[in-house]
Amino acid sequence: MGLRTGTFHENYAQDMAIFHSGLQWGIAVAFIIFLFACPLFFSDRILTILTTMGIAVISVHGLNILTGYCGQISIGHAGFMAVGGYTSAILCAKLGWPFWVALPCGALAAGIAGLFFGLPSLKIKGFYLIMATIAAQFIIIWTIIQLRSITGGADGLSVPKPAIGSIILSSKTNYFYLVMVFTCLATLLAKNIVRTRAGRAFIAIRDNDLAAEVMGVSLWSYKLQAFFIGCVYAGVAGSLLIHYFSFASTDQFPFMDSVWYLGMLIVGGMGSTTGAIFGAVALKLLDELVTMVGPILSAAVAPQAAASLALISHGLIIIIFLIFEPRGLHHRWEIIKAYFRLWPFSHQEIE
Amino acid sequence: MVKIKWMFLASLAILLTAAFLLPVSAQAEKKLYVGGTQSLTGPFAEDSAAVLAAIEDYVKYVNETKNLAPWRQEKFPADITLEVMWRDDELKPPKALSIYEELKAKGMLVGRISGSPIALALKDRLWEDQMGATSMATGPYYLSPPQSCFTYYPIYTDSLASIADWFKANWKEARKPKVAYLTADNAMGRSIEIPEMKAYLQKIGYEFVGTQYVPLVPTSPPTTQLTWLKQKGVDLALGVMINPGSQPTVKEMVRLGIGPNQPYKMTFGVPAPGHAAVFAAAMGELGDGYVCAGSFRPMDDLATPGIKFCSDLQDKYRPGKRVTHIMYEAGILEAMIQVEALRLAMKKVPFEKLTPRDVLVHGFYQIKNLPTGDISSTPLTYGKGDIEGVDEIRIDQVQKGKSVTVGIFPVRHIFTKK
Amino acid sequence: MTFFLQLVVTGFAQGMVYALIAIGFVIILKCSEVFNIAQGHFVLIGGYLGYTFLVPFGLPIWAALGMAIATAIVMGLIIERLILRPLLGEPVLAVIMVTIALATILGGLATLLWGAEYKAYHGLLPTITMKVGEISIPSESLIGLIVSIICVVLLMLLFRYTKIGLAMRATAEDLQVVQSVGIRATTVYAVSWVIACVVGVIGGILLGGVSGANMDLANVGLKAFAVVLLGGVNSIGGAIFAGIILGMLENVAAGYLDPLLPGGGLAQVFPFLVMIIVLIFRPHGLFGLARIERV
Repeated sequence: MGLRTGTFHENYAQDMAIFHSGLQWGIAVAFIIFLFACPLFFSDRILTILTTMGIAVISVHGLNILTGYCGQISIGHAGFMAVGGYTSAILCAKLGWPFWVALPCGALAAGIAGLFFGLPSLKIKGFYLIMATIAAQFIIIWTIIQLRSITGGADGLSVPKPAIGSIILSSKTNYFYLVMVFTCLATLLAKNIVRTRAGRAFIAIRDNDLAAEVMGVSLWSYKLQAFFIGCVYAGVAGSLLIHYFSFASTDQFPFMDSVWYLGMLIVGGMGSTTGAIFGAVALKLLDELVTMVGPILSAAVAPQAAASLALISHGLIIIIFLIFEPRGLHHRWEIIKAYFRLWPFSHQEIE
Repeated sequence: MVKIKWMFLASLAILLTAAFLLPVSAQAEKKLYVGGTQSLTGPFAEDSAAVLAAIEDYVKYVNETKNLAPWRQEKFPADITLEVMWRDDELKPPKALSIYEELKAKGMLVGRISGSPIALALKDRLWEDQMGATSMATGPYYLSPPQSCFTYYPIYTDSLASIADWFKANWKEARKPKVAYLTADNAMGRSIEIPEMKAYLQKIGYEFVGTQYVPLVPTSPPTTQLTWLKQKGVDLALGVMINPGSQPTVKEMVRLGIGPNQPYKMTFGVPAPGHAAVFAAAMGELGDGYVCAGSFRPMDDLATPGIKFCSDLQDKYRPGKRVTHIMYEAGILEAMIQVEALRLAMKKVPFEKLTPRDVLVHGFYQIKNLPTGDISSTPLTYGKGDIEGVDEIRIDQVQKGKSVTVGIFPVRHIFTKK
Repeated sequence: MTFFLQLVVTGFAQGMVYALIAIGFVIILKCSEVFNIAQGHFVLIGGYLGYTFLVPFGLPIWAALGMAIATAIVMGLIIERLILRPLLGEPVLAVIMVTIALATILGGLATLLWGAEYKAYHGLLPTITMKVGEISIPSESLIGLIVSIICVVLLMLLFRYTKIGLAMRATAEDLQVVQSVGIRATTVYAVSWVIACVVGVIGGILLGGVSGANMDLANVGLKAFAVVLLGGVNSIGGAIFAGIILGMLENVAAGYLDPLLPGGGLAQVFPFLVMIIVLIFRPHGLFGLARIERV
């Protein structure tokens, strides 16, 4: 990683810092201020998009820790979101617990579900683990439908509007703030988790599990930790999603969402916190773009063309990134930053 | 290589920004929007595409002639143009939310719902904003409590109740008839498993046996499920299925010798969207005995004024590219309801001041006996708390490869209104 | 007892179709170590191709089958050359993700070409009605059984007696040795994708005969994964055996347990339950090679 001219690291703390200079601090603070000022000048529609984006970012952070850092591929993330979401929904709707208690409980429940379905990861990896997580997705959804008396089964469950203290989070602006607070916290936490001992162990396992084990990294413990943390994130995201709709239904957690969370990670760049954000934002923007182009394309060609556009564009974007830029948008972003950092004495980074 | 990548990324970025900055067209003329969210991707894709085509055609018709239908005298205000505005939500609830906000911000006064997942995501928002919406989905969730989504065919439980009524009316034997559910294994199919439905069936003199599930789209004939029904001596099987589910099921029934005209007598009934006309067209005489409640009339039934209207619209606006899907009729109904609500609201509130709430209160709630040229079972009537437009349900049966009306029964309102 | 036998017989025939789809998966995996998530979408395309050639083109069944197979061959070649070849040697995740993307694109193409509509072609496939005592065997399943057996026998012959078949088996054994003796690995990969496509398309036509072509046909691919895991990912014989076992188990379990469960629908989730159990207790499946790794 290159540093800006004139920035020096003289001790360990400086080297480990997230922000290396006052400028970076300034940019980060300015960005957060901008984010929280959004409701002042954006329409309800943009706020809605940003809110769903925020929820996706939280979820992808979890997947990034599990898949991007620890190398345990999961295509069942939406299933774990469902566990978190439903737990929190049931606690709120059936037991009348306040939202701020139910959400952590939902997160915990998702984490425990993650531990359970993470158990096979001790024995298997790669494709087999993917299959186990796909199975997890379907088993979770099926179980939710079976537990009709608690979950409302296929009819779903109506959830009261979340409230913190006396503030009822019913308006879009309120909820936008809630989600953004969680997104910022989740990002900060994710960035820090990967800098801890556990985070370094995750990377060691991803890069070479055999070597990691030999060096004394307990695969057993750290793989399960990764599953737990990843799924806690999913639980928070799922809970936020369900309270946003104030309705819990298994339709909100389809299998294809699990696939697209992984797609977001690939587009953004695996194993990078910024990458997770980039990926979630990029694919959500693509979604919006497809929605807007749809009617135009339909008028020009045929409705089927508009319908297939969503599927084909998503598939193509994944293939293009995998073939041409497997390190994702995050890598591109680093190149752009390096270009400006070294300007005017720039040189093309050789891949 | 690097250049190509850059160009690709740059063009993507430009496209994205362009999409966001596209100006909302300045409204010089008086324009009202109809349409709404569509699900062109996913299991309801073909239905949604036909509905969309119909809405487009109907709007062209109203704009050109200012008539509302050949059988109606009322005129649409001459200075106002209708425009179709729609987005594809791919049946994803989060997408439907942002689409809803976008359409609302662009000044849309009526909404549309394209499937159960969308209904669950939007119904509370619509109610909060007091916006009326037409809906292609008819699950019981609409009735607890009834809000601002209006259906134009009866909800599934009421449809099945009418089949049960019809079957009971024709029941000759002394013993109690046995009824079972044979239903699709998804949210739509399971939405009939409510205690009220079972209670109603038992009240009118049925013995309830149990439930069997068939995948929404089976990949093998449901031999097991049908054998089970036969073993239990079931006389009437009820369920919610779409055609890809009901066709293989009935085919297998015939092969196993189960059916109203077969050695083992059992009748199988489903509500719309398992439309009898579509079923008959695909199955021919193989499908004899299949019962469907609340289905639309066949698209070639030109003696019905509504169907004639559909056909004329297609001749005029899409020559050579006719939509043969039966949900075209549903689209005409949806467009009629939306346009009628707008027209009624404009009688009370001037165009400039029109809000979604006005359209709901002075529009949707005031629709009484809207003639649909017999596309729907009865003329449509809505009101506060009354979201099922029809009052009676037509029951069709496939006989000799044709869909034949065998009875008409009142809507029972099975699902208790809370 | 009749009920039980009926369940077993239905399950057997159903399992045979699962096995047929699973074989395509196993062949690709054996030859090129690619886990092809898009196998179910080959089935989907097959269902629609069957409709196109049988109904609008009005071809007789054999001609339609031939045309569908020809299309499948072209499809297999294109997919291998354009999408899979650039990713040779990439990590597992990239390859799996690319097959997922491929699945999405195939779904999109089906939407584009056939409007995602439900297309039925009842009664166009030949039917055989067979009844053993009280138990009746669904004709579609019986046809499926016969076609599956023919396909399996043909594949066995291909692997045993042809040069390319031997090359494929050798590639599955050791890629480097194969390359050093002058066999083009890319040809082997291309052929394995072609076979997978053809097998998937045939499966699609068979399933389409049962329920008509529909976007949901692709979901059967997920069941094939369970078959593959149970049988062992690199064993064709295992796939056939596991397919039949799974078909039967699924039917019996659904037949007896469904009425007891509040929500029923066990058949839908059963393959995944099997999957988890297999993965926990015997990850290499019943007949797969156990790779020993002591970590």
